[in-house]
Order: sequence, then structure tokens, then C-alpha cells
Amino acid sequence: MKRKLIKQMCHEWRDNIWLILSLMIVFTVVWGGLWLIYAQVYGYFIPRGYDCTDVYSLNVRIIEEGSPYYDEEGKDIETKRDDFRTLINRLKAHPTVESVMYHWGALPYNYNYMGTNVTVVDDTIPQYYGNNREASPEIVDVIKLKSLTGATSAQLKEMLQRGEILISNNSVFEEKGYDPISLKGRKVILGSDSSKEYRIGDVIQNVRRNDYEPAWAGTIITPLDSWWGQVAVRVKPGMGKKFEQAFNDNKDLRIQRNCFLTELERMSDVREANQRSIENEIRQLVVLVIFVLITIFLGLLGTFWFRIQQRVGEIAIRKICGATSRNILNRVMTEGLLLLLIAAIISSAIMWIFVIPGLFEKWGTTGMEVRTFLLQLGALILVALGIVASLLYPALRAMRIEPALAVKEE
Amino acid sequence: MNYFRQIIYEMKHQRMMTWVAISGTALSIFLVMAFFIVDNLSSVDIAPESSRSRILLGAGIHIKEGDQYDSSGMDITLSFAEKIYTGLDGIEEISIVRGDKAAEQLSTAGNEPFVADGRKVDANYWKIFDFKFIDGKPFDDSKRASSERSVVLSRSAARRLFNEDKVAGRDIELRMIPYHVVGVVEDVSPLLDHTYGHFFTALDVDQYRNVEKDELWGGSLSVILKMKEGVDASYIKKQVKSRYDRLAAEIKKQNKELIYHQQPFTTEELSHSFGSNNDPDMASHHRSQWIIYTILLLLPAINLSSMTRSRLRHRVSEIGVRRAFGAKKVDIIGQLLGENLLITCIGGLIGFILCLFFLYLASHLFFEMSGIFETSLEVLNVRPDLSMLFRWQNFLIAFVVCFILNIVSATVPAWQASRRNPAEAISGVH
Repeated sequence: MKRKLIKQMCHEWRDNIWLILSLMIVFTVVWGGLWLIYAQVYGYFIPRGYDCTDVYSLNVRIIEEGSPYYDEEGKDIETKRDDFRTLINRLKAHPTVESVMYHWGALPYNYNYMGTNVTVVDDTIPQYYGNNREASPEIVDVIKLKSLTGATSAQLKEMLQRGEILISNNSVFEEKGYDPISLKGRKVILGSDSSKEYRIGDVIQNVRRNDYEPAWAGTIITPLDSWWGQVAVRVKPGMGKKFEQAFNDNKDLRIQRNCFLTELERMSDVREANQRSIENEIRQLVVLVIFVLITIFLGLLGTFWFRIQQRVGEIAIRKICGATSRNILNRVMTEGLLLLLIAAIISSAIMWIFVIPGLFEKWGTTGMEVRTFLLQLGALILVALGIVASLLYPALRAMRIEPALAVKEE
Repeated sequence: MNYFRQIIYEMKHQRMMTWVAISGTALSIFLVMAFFIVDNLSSVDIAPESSRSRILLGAGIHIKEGDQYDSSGMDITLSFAEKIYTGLDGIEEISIVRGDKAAEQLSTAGNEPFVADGRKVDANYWKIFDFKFIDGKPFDDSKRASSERSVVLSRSAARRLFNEDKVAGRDIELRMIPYHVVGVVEDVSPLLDHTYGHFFTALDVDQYRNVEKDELWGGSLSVILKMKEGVDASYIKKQVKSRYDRLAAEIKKQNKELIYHQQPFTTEELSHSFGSNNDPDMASHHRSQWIIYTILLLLPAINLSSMTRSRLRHRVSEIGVRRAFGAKKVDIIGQLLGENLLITCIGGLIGFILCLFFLYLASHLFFEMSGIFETSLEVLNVRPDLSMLFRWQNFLIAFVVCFILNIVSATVPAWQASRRNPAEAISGVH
């Protein structure tokens, strides 16, 4: 049967070449689409060292001279710091609030990157590189930092209060053969400033800039030593609306002399805004893959519809000679899947010889990885499913042909 | 007329084929037009940015200091702005503005405040963009307007503050400082980068002159340039490049390297975020767009072509009879292309209408229209106005795309069908 099928396919080579060409493009686009989706989504499944549920962000501003609200007594810098501290303490004391921190760009979901080298004092081990996030010790509770050595949040907070720093796991550092945990307790300097030494208190799970970002470097949490900065508030679970209402209604929570808190934002909104471009790209790629699958579905459906119409007599004779409906179904399906196999082999050969080596060289790998083959297999299965779905209707139609009537018409 | 009758008969007779061809075409046109329209939104002329092709933005500075430091930023200092961008040949108007919009607290005395996006602009800004004033007028003297704390509000900000539109002459509080409303403008779509904002205050350049400590760093400004009619952006870029080169030679003595990145930027370049330390790479963007268009058109074209070939096999005898009765090959090709074009146009029209609905309702969930550094959810959730989508150029492009799809998918099968020997065709020999 197989030999006859191949002979018949060769006989219709003109039509089949178009189908193979079309399937080659579909297979390549689906494969490429799956690769790009994988590359974007990969970071999402890396463990996150932060949790911004129920967290709000605020900015601190100053009432300037000329405002009717300006208070002459609050003009010097120390008074402003005191006023800021008063506002923080009021927020902390509010019944809806769990914890409050102040910081400089230390929250996730912003693209700022304060790349900093950590150099171990009196040692020649390679520098540790990471994004430096300066914050008050309450960052541990507000964004729920996670220790990799089993330290409790109270212990992490104490470390920051003592002026120690926290570092995270770091894939680049680990690739050099060093474990960040081995740095725990070591004295280090940050950047090129050798005038101040810090002690590494503990190692935490990496705090990335967003949920999708692959962890290509580490995180450094440095205690902020002056009372000033942006503010982040963790509210008790389910108390978000009450907190928002209280903040808007209660002036004491917002203003102290010339210092005022403003621009209250839910971190869930900040996250949505920050990740919108990445999620849009993923949705676009998914749509593209679905588009090519629908296109091949329609193309094969149309072509095989006509093919079955042409082969009515042939199918009828097969049935008269003893072929079952299942044989007919198998024949139609095998024809479609054989076309896919030929297309997949040709396009894979082209991709592996001409495209993949150059592409992966740019990314620093050879591409000979299990995931490359798995994605290729995934593309093959997806397109095969599309083919089966598209051939089902024409095949069922072929199965329903009444041999006697069809032969009579012939 | 016979053509149409025959096409309608064919469509009725081959319902499955008609459905498959129309839906395949509709899907293809839907996606091609969605990518095309979104890509072109950045250059659509729409009030108050009615001459976007003539607008350039002078922004961005990138300096290397030996091998140690490599710093860049989009905002520039007044001194840098004046040195590089003032007095250029071919420029009609120049406006110095604060680099980007900023969120600030607005309120009326004693009432609950809210946060809105605002811009700081000089008086020339109002000459470059044609804002529609609902009430009052723009400030014409930046220095005086700055000292008098004048503000222009958007219609929505005026409504939120006062529950009405005509509020020129009234007072508001901005960052808890009293400001005087001099005008109210019609709301602007957040998709218009240079003009979207809820309030506009005056920028007095002298204040910056007194405050700036460094000629290159610590700036917060950018420059909007409006070119004269007929002037090409490359002509302005060439002048700016030579000024960059002169300044670079001056600061080289301090072991600093000033790097030029194709400033000033066109609106189209700005719509594809590239950061302050890279050149806008429009060639690469256009290349990826063309790859997408090719895939979206080629795939349905191959499939439609394959189906058309199969369909024409059923009409071999009919084509043979036509040829036997004197129809020329070109008539056969013309008829088959015409039939196919009608089906393509029906599919194309459905796809195009669906595309407009889709972009109006959900484009923000699929396309990046405000740049990756935009942090306001309100701006990110904005969708194009109908006036941005319903443009005759888009209809024309959709038709051209249908025509191309038709030519690519039907020419070869039609040509093959026309070449058949009439005797063989009538006898049904394949």
C-alpha cells in the first residue's frame, strides 16, 4: 500500500511540491515561533526572590517656597528628614499596613540598573557583579526576600540593621566555578570605593527586574543609611482598598510640614506596565504560530477536498476490492503526514546547516542541546496535529463514498 | 456580467472551497494590515501633531571617558542644546522643552489631589503643534508665564478639577503651589509622544542657565525642531553631525569621547525605542517587518495557489470549450485572475474590517505603541482613535495587498490552465 501511495504522490508531484513548500515554511515558522516564545517565557519559571502582592509604591516630594502650605520651620534638611521619618512611622502604625520601607529604585519592575562590582578584601577570587538595590532593612518584609541558607526574615533584617549587605545567587559568578554562599561572612568593598568595607550577611534568591528577565547577574541589597527616598508599603492581605481610601482621606498619612507623599501606585499595576511589552511580544508570537497553523489547515483542507472529489472513482474501486473505511482514512492521513515528514526533513536540513550554527554562535552556544530538539519535535507535533485536523473532514467524506453509486457515475 | 454570474455560481457550487479561500484571505489581510497600520501610527499626521514628517527631536548624549566610564542619557543640558541645535539651516521653529512628561499632583484649593502627566514647554512649542484651544490661549512669553505660574490644562484635567471645560482665569494647585489657568486644550491621544499631557507649564530657559553646573551632564531638556517645507531630515542630521564633531574635538582634550547617534531623531525613529547609547536601527526594523509581511502573504498565497490548481482541474473541459470557440489564452488568464481577485477582495474586505475592529478594541494587548520605558498603565492601555485607523491610505494598501495576493496565488495556475490543448482539455485528459 505504501509503495502505491508513494507512486501516486509522485504522479501528483506538481501539486505536492506546492504543499511541501508550504509545509516547509509552516514548519520553520512554528519552530522559530516556539523558540522565541520559549526564550521569552524561560525566565518566568526561574525562582523569584521577591513578592510584590499587596505592595504599594509612593514618592516623596517637597513643598516649595511660594506655596501657601510652605512651613518656614521645616526648611532645613534635618527637619525634612525628621518629617519624612514621622510620615514613615505614621504609615507603619496604620492598622491596614504590615510593613514600610524606603529605598532608591530597589523595587522590582523597573528597568534601572545600578551595576556594581563586589570585590572580596584580601582575596583574588573574581569580582561578583550585580544590581545594587539600596533600601531600609524593612525591604526583607515588604518584598519578602528569601534566604538561600535558611535564615529567617528577622535575621536578614538584623543583618541589614547592622550595616551588612546581602547578595544573591548569580549565574555568571557560578559559571566561573564559585558559589556565592561561600562569600557569606566575607569582607568586601562595593565598586571602586575602598574607603568603606561591608560584610556579606547572607545570600538570598535573586531579585530580578521583572518576572521574565533571565537571571544573568546577581542582586546586592545595601542598607540605606539616610532617612530619605522612595517609599514602599506592604498592606495586610485584603486591606488594599481600605489603605488606598485611608491614604486619600487622611492628610496626616500624606503630609508633614514641607514633606509630602504622593503618586500612590499598586505594584500589581507597575508590574503590568513593566511587563506589557514582553507579554505583547509573546502574544504576537502565539498569534503568528496560530496563524500559520490555521493557514496550513485551510490550505490542506481545500486541496484534499478537491483531491477526494477527483479520486471518487478510485476510492470506490478500492472499496469494491475490499478496502475498509479505516483503510481509506489511513491512506488520506498517511499522505498528508508523509508530505509533512518530507517538508520537515528538508527544512531541518537547511536550518541545521545554514541558519542554526550562525544563530547560536551569536548567543554563545552551539545549539546542540536537548531543548533545541524538543522544540523541533514540538513544532513537528503541532503541525502534524494541524494536518490531521484539516484532513479529517475530506477523509470522512472519502469514507462515506458509496462504491456502487460512485462507479455508476464514473 | 457573465463573469459575475459564473463566479457566483462557482461560489455557490463549491461552498467549501469558497469558505476556505475567503477565510484564508481574510486572515492574511487581517494580520498584514494590523502590522502595517500599527507600524505606521507613529507617522500618521493627526492634530495637534499635524506635520509629524517635519518634526525632529534633539535628545540624547553619550560620552565615554577612557575605558572606565560609558554614560548616556536622553535628556540634555541647555548649554548642549544651544550649542548643537540652535541656528540650524532649514529649521522653521525650535522649541526647548523638559525631556519627558512627568507625573505631578494636581488639585483645587483644599480638595482631594490626583496625579496627572504634565509637560514643561516654552512659548514656541505652541507654534509647532496645532492644539485646539477650547478656552483661553497659550502663553506667548515663557519667562513671564513661568514667573506668573501660568498653566494650560487638557479638557479632561479641567473637568476633573472643576467639572467644566471653560476654566481659563481660575486657579489650581500644582505640587501644592498655586497656578493660574490661562487656557484649556482638547485632549490628546497618549500615542502622540510630543503633545500628550494633562497640563503644560512654562519653561524659562534662564532658570536652567543659572542652575546647570556642567555643560554636558545633569540636563533635563530636549529640543523639538520643525523643519521648513521640503527640507529633508538628512540635511539637518548632517549639520548636527558636524557640530557634534566640533564639540567632540573640544572635549577630547579632557579624555572624553562624545558619540553621535544620528540625532536629531525623526518621529518614526523615536517610535522604536533604541536607548540613548545606540543608533536608531530602522533598516533592521524594516527588515523584520518585511519578513513578517512575506510570511503572512506567501503562506496563504502558496495554499491558495495549490487550491486554485485543484479547482481548475474541475474546469478543464469548460476551459477547453472556451478555447475551442476562439477564446485567447490571455482571455482565459484574465477571466481566472478576475474571478480570483473577486474572491480575494471579498476576503480582504472582511479581513480589513475585522482588523480595524481588532485594533480599536485590543491593539494594546498585542502591540507596543508607547515604548518599553513607558510606566503609566493609563498610557499603555490606550488604543488608537478611529480617526487614526480610518484613513484612505489604509484602504488603498489593503487593496494593493489583495491584488498582490491574487497575482501571486492565481497567475501560475491560470497560465497553466490557459496553455492546455483544447482537444485534450475537452476530452478530460489530465
